[in-house]
Amino acid sequence: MTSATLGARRGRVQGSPLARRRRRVFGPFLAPALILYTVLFMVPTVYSFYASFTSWDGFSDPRWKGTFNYQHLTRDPAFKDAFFNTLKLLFGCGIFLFVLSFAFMLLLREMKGRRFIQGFIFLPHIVSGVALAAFWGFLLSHDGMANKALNSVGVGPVDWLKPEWQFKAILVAIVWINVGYYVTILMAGVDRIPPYYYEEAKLAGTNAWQRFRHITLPMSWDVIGTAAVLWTIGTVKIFEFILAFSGSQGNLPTTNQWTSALYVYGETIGGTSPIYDFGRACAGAVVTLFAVVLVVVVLRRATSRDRLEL
Amino acid sequence: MRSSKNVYRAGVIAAAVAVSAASLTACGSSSKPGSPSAPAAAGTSSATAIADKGSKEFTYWSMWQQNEPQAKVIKKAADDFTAATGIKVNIQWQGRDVITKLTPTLKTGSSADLVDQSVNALGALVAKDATADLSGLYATKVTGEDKTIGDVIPASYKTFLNDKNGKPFIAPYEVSSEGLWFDASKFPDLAANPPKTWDDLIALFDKAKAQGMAPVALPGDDKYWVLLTLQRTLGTDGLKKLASDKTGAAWDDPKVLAAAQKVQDLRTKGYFIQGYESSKSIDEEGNFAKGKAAFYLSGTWVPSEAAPNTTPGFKFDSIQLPALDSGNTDTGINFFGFAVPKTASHADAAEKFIAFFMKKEELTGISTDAVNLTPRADIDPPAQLASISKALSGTVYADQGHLSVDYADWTNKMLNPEMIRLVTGQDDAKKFVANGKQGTVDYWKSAS
Repeated sequence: MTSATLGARRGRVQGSPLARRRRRVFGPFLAPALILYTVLFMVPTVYSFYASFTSWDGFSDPRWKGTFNYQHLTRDPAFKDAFFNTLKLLFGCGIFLFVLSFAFMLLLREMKGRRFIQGFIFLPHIVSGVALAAFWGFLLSHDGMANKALNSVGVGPVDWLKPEWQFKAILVAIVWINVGYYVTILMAGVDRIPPYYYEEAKLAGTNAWQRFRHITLPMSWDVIGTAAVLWTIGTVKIFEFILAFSGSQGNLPTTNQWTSALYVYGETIGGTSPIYDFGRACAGAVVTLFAVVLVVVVLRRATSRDRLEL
Repeated sequence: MRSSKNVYRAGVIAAAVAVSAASLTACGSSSKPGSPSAPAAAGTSSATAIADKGSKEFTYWSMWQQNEPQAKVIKKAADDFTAATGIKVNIQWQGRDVITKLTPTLKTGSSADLVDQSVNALGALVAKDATADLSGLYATKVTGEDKTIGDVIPASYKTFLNDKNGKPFIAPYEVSSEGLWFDASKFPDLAANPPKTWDDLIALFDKAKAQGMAPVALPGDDKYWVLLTLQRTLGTDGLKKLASDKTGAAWDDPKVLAAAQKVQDLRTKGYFIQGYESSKSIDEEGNFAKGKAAFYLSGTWVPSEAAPNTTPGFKFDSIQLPALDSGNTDTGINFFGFAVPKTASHADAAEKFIAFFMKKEELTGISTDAVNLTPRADIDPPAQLASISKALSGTVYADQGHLSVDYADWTNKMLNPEMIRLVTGQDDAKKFVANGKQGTVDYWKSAS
């Protein structure tokens, strides 16, 4: 950039008193948030990148170990479990969750008392994960409510929580917890679509699927994209439900139920005899972060459409 | 239009990075990066008592929550201590993750002058060379008594209370162990005549079956049956070798398969309560207390935890597993006690409090009010724990072979999942051994 263009630009900005004044308050308004964000998030994040290349117990000074932690991750069955479980949550739960959310949303749109039902299915989202885990345990344990209900009709009991089903029970629970939230988001998007589009379409003799395919879906595409990104980020943070549901008496859940967040916890301060391997945990978190960024970029590309102005 | 969309997309990606960063932050922020290395004072370890600086107060970070019985006993002792000495005790009930909370403060001057946890959990501080040598304290007389603290702790316990230099780092006030719990009102002679062999044990379980009870309650994530059967079969050193032998050859010992086979048989022959695979310890403790199952293999906390659910007339008692191939009948032991961080600024007052709490009058509360065992032989154990207390007066070994501390990563990632697979029938005994061997080889390969 030449000094001439710089000068010209400055001249333009300085030329407007409003722009000048705005520029003056810009800094003071931005600074507190920026400083807090930098100190509390960006500095630790950058430090985590550094720590992932070290051996660090969180107490002594970190010792440089190059890519050792990353090499270890490729051989660590617990990390593989954690990583693939996170992917299962992201894609397996994700697809199921969005299909279900759409179904609910379409059903509720036409329904009387939709606000009440919407509130009802939103409820799990505002309850603490630990409480939900306890409830899920009561529901599905051998003497739990599900088996009592089955028993009353002469069926069962079913071992819902046997070890090979436990993670599946977690996947179902995560969908149950989140569906209300995504119904609400999608509903907000779909509510913006003016009713006359549907009226027109009906007059043209379209069926419900055609209206969904040609009106609802394209006109709420940006909301779906944002919801998908929110879900992607959310899956990385799924933690307390699994810990409370599968762990007991301070013990960690077994590694085949770990997610990325539990891996970080398990390698550092989790369990009755914590390992305090912050270097390895940071490496795990960095790999997860890159995976999430990749998924988000791909999602945004895939859902990228020119926004329809209403 | 296009550029505003790009800005929007960049914003979304930035948000994604930021939120994901939160999970990274979790590992970045729990310590103080770049802080100076431990002060020189931390390195001065002497066998003499910590110098009396005449501190008028100290801070105690407790592993207990305020409403727990142990907390009440300690609080009463702290009040008595303040009344007797004028030294103020600032207690913070931090809960079980007290060590994790304390660790970041240790370098620059510990936030607590006194801390307590299990000997295993405190081991994390010992590994960092962050605990004070309590040799001086051990040589100090218990307040108001003629004996020293070292005298009132049984000699057989002491090797488990030392750091790698042979210096004590913990002053234990509570002792725990495991036993096979039963209702003495149903088996009145059992404690006096425990089964001597595995066959005797099976005969006992058959007796329970005949009485209409499930013989054994256990949670789906039980580790005691496999671990303690292995300990009885291989001995404590043999158990440790399963972890430490990097070639995995220790798993080829036919005794390992024999032990695993015993646990498999318990399951396949219907000695385990129905539906245990999908239940937790709290459920099974309840099943045991309600008389649905006759036996429950677990820790010394069972009588106090399960008491509210018991049937009328229920009388807690316990036996140890019989000797198996190794002939080993040792009892596993775990300790809860006080440690003083090296960088504590009021260590003198903290040590005075330990000496005060260890006196019979105060420590008895752990037995009478908290229904737990104390290390002092002259304090009567609660009736429910009398059998375990007697077992602990014989030869003891570090609970669960110390595997969860010495080989924590191996235990979490390899042993525990495999034990659960065996106990819930996902794997048979042969598969357990094969997986154990391969898992151990892989573990050491990835750790090197």
